[in-house]
Amino acid sequence: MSNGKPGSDIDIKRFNQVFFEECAEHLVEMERILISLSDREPDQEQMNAIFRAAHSIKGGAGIFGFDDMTVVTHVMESLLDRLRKHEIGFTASMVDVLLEAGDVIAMQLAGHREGSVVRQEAIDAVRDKLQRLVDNGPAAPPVAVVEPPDSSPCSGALIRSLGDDTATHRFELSFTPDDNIFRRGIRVESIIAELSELAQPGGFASRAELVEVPTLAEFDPENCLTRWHFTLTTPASADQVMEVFMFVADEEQLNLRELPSERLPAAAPANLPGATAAAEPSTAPGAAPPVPEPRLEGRRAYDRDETSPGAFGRRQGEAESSIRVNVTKVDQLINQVGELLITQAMLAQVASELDPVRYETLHKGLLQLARNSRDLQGSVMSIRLVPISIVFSRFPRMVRELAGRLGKSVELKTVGETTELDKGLIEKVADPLSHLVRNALDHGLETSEVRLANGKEPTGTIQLKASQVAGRIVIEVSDDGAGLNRDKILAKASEAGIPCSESMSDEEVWQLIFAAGFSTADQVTDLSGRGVGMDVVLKNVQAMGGRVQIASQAGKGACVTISLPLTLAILNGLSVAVGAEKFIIPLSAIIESLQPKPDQLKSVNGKQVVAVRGEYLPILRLHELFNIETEVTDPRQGILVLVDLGGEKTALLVDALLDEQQVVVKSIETNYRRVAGSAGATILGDGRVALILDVAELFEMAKKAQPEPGPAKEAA
Amino acid sequence: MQQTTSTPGKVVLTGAWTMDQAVEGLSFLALALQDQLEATPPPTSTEVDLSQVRELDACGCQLLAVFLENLKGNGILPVPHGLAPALFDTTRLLGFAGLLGAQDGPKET
Amino acid sequence: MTMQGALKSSEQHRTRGAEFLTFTLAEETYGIDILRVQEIRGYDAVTRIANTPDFIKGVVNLRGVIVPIVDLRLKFKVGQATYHEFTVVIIINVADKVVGMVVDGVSDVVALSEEQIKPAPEFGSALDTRYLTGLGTVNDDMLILIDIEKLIASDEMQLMDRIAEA
Repeated sequence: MSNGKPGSDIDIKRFNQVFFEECAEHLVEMERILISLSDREPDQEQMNAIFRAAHSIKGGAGIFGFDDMTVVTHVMESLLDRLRKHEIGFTASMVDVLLEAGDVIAMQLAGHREGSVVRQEAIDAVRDKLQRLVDNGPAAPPVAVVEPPDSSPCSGALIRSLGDDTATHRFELSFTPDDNIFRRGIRVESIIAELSELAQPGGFASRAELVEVPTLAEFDPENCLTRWHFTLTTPASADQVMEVFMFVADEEQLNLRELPSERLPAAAPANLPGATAAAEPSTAPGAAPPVPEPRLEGRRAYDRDETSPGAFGRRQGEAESSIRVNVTKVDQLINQVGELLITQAMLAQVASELDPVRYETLHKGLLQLARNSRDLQGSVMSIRLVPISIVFSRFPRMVRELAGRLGKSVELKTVGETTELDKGLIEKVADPLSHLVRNALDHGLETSEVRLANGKEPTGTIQLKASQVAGRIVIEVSDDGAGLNRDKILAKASEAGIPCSESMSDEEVWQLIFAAGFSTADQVTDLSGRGVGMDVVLKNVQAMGGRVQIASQAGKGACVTISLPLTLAILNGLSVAVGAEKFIIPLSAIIESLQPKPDQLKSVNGKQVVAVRGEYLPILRLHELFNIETEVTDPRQGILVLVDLGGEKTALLVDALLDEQQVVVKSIETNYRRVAGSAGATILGDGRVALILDVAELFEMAKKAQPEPGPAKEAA
Repeated sequence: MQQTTSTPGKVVLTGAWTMDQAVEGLSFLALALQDQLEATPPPTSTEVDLSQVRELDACGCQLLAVFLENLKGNGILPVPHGLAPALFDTTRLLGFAGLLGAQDGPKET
Repeated sequence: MTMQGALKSSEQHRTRGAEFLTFTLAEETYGIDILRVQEIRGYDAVTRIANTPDFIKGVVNLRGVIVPIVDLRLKFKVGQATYHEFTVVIIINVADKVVGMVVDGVSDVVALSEEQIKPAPEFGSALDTRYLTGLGTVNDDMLILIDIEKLIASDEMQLMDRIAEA
């Protein structure tokens, strides 16, 4: 158990990057829908999808402190919300305005991401247009309904005049890269060469300085210990100079000063945009210095630079030397490696029948092949695995900021951060989780005053907990707030036209909040908005084949549990043999395995149990459950694998233990149907399919098969 | 391909001195330094022959600079020389000309 | 067979002129739309699934994808369900699922023109007439044409979760 640590600078950048990418995806999606409408009125599903996209952008922008981006999205959301509720009618011109709004958001995104020019007047214009549509007034000038033009720290810097003076500047620039710059594969030589090309002939000087001089024994030669000092005389602006380092260096690593110009001492421009930007500690983490010449904003402004020369190489640095790969490509790779292993196993089998002396080289080669393929498999599988801390570490900052805005006192606890999760799941689970955390903060937790009045600690707690429980990944978001309010939910649901009744059980009532358009927030806040949260959560989790459960106790708090299947995940399992079949038991469920001694086996109510350290555990005979012919029907001849089903324990009778291995979990449902008692399947080294046991479900199956449960505990 | 041969008073570096070979390069240099320090009597100056260096990048420059500083720190004056003109331009661009002190052009021996 | 045939079969998925993969079950020869056939492979390494009807033989690994195998001989109680190195499995792709079918043998791919296809009889085949789309004649041999998608997706094959369960 550990408390959430504030993300380091690098983490925040990485998450900015995630936000940029998600935001770009939402924009593309929104645009796609809007364009597909071709002036028709969107149906409810499309409307909700556009709304969700706008909402997600707004939410993300809020989390990452790009407040300027919430301005347009907020009005956009209001418009969509009124449309959705049929409070105003749809007109074709709305599509144009919404598209325009998308472009403006894209422009803002590009501003944060790449430092390109953001035109405030375009933002204001589209916001006003949207607001007019919201108010449904004709061309009435907008009243100051929304926030005044934003004063976010970065936009001010971004729209600074770039100046077209052709005077030369003399800059002094120092560059202290992070010590990983070499490892990240950034070619410092190219950057410096690029910088020197900005300078007039003879107007460039470079001096490297070792920040420290370690002894050779202590020296890590891949660490960058060098600080560079440059002076350059150049017609380029400060921004252009800074741009050279875009994606390579953070602003705090650069220090740009303009020296008095030799030629134009008096007329030297007073504003040194880049210089100021560099000298000031940046308050906007993603803000990069602006690009020199203003460009027309346009659709997909956000990915414009991706193909420009030079951008490719420099992007390496930005992405922490990582690349984004489509998950299906990784899946394909995993499948292909699986095939390779199978072929290798087959070759090994064939070779085992050949004379080891005569075919010594072949045997050696095959051994090497086996090693190589296993290594390859390990590497390929590890591509997909990432600790959930990647998602969890987003939250401390978000919680702090939200709590601040809501005037609540909150402690965030994170448990099980090292739980490894499939990359595909990580990406998809982040969104639902942030909705849940936001909801818990906004709706669940009370203010300190209320808490004190109710005899609680003034500081509320939100806990994020991840674990792998018997073949499923379980993530809990719990709070010790007021819990869900049954009456309020019912009232709200009937108001929203969601079918419900007083006679519903609590569980059924909690389900109501998953309905689209439901919200318990008394007022529309900037935070959790208008009840898109929970339906998004449900939709996203279901899309992963997961389930969402809510538990709530009035006054004590609420807990939302997301349980995800392992379909995408990789599992540590123990392979066991039962007759001719092999099964995988998730290691996480196993307590121990033993060969029972005769005196450990007892009979209780006609059922055989095994006594282990004073406990009597029922014996589940896998061969019976799965109807398999085997010689081993007596526990004394086989092995008992003791498993824990979250408190309840049982012993599985198997013929033999085979191997402990990491397996790729495959879905059986893709082409077949769910198989009772299994949490998926995997492909073994010999190419055969083996079921992965869902121990909890097996236990249920056994109970059903034997209606009179052996009251094992009573015997103790 | 990267190599160092060292005798007391003289270290000859060859091949590529870049990020990719940095770890390897360091171990060569550490041996070279040891050779200098273990010589009896230790040399007061050591010639660092760079004429066979084929490639240099920022990481390599930094590595050589740290090596030269280590020599200095042990009371041995490094005398680097012989860097090929093209590579000398690189070191100048990278700002290491001063630290490496490698004179322009091959030195007459 | 020609482009034209392929186009026709996609335009009119009810049996008109098209190419068919023919296979045998006991004494009868059946034909299925060739466009549904992914590949033909041998029968091996099948992992049994407990508590399923006998005609569902289990699942196999088809290049990393888990595919169920049904034995049509058992399903329709024809022929002898023996498994050896010559046992043939037709891998088909229907209703977004990949499924393997064990048959007695795969014979040929034949192209039938519309004229060669007659309406399905009311009876006389091991298969329920619901899944038949017509009768073809090739060299005086009768070919029973099956709507394989309908058959595989049917409840009686028990290959798919019913919607309610999903």
